[in-house]
Amino acid sequence: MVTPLGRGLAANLEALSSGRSAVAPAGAGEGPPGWKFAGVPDFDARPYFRVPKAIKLADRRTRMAVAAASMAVEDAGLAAGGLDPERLGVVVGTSGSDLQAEELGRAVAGEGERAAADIPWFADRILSGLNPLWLVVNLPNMVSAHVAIQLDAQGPNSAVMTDWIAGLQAIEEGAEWIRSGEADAVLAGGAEAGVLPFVMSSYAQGERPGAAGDAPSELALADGAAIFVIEDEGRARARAARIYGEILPSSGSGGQETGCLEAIRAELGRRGAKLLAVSRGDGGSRSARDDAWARVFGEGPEIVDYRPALGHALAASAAIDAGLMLARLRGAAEPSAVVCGARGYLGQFAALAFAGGAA
Amino acid sequence: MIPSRAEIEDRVRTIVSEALDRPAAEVREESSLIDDLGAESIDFLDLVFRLETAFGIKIPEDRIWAGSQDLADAPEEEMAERLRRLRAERPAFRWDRFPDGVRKEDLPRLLTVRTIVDFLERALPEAEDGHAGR
Repeated sequence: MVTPLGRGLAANLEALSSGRSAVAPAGAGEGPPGWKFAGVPDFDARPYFRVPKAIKLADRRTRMAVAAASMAVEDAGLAAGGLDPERLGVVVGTSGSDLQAEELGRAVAGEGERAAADIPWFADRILSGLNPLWLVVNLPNMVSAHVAIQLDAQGPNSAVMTDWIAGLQAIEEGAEWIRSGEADAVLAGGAEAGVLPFVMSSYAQGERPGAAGDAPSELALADGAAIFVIEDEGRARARAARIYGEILPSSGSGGQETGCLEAIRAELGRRGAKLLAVSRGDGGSRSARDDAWARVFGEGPEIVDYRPALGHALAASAAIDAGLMLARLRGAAEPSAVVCGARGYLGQFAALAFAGGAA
Repeated sequence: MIPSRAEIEDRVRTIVSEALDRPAAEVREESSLIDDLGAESIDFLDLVFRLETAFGIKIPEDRIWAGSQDLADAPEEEMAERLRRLRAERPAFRWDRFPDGVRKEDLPRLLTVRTIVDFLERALPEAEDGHAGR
């Protein structure tokens, strides 16, 4: 994973355990007063790109995704398994692109009002002033495309764009590809560059649940990416790979929070797995939502919230949570589980349950 | 002021090196953009945009890459004659790479850094005249 606290799971766990937070108020000129951000500092993406020429086609979210995917593939020892590239799939959730606002701005520089009102002129300036590659940098499915190109994943490829639950749904989709035999291994997760002018303006203009007025007092926009290697347990064990956990089939998404969580609780009961912790993944206020988790799971499991440390990386946020939560399963002495939730600003809900421990 | 050929070549090599992510030392005048420098179709769009921005002129793609696609629709029976004419018109193409005869789909591989420099050496004075005449 790549987050504002560092690159790689170990670096993030260490930063979190030492109480670090990457969330900071916007500096002068960086965003509206009162807003908070958690950006990923620029990093050299070259070591992660098998084809370095493609870096010019990769925006920040894509660079983070390729870096995260490369780390995941290495961690999983996937290269050692003799995997057929045509059986390696990719599915990444993202909510959009940074649209290269600086390039757009340069193309219409000095003519702000005209750019807003004179559409033929605007079109002419954009067409002549923007690099023709601009489009292919900004298409939402380019994250999945570049991960596939750089990791030589020639299997099924997809992008999920269901706002804040997209990262979790991508993992769910990847697990389904394994169950249905569409792929032998899948690189799945979320990637997002959330610290961006367009994102800021859309959240400032739109009404967001939990935000008072237009000041997102609780929503700290963040960057980040987390990619998982998902495969059949037998395959992973045959390779002696490091296994973090099993994705439970009761994981799911939809509008019904209580229903999703009840399905997970029932499966945990059947398996006799102890629920260690839950992360609800909310970006905004808690209010009534706490009740569903408490009603279903009781007061037992620890409630984890990474937002104060990592901010909210929109579509990638809950995928990052999932990576951090999975680390809690390692070393558990008895059959255990963690549950990660995400709620989109339009009300969609997703929850993934992971089992592990005593392996 | 119109830059000298040496200045044009210098700037073109830098642009090609950046666009195709190749060390400057690998970008030579006779380098085939595709075979030696790894250009793909999408890179040709990128190159034209970068050259337009750097030299401040509009570059019609059918002119800068002229000869590399001219035979795409040519009937087979005319190919030999059309190729012979193209060879005479474009002596700087890397014909030597295809000693056994070139197929029309190989034509883009004949394009070199020199193709760009030659084009700009012709086009920059034309653009300058165009401005002066307005």
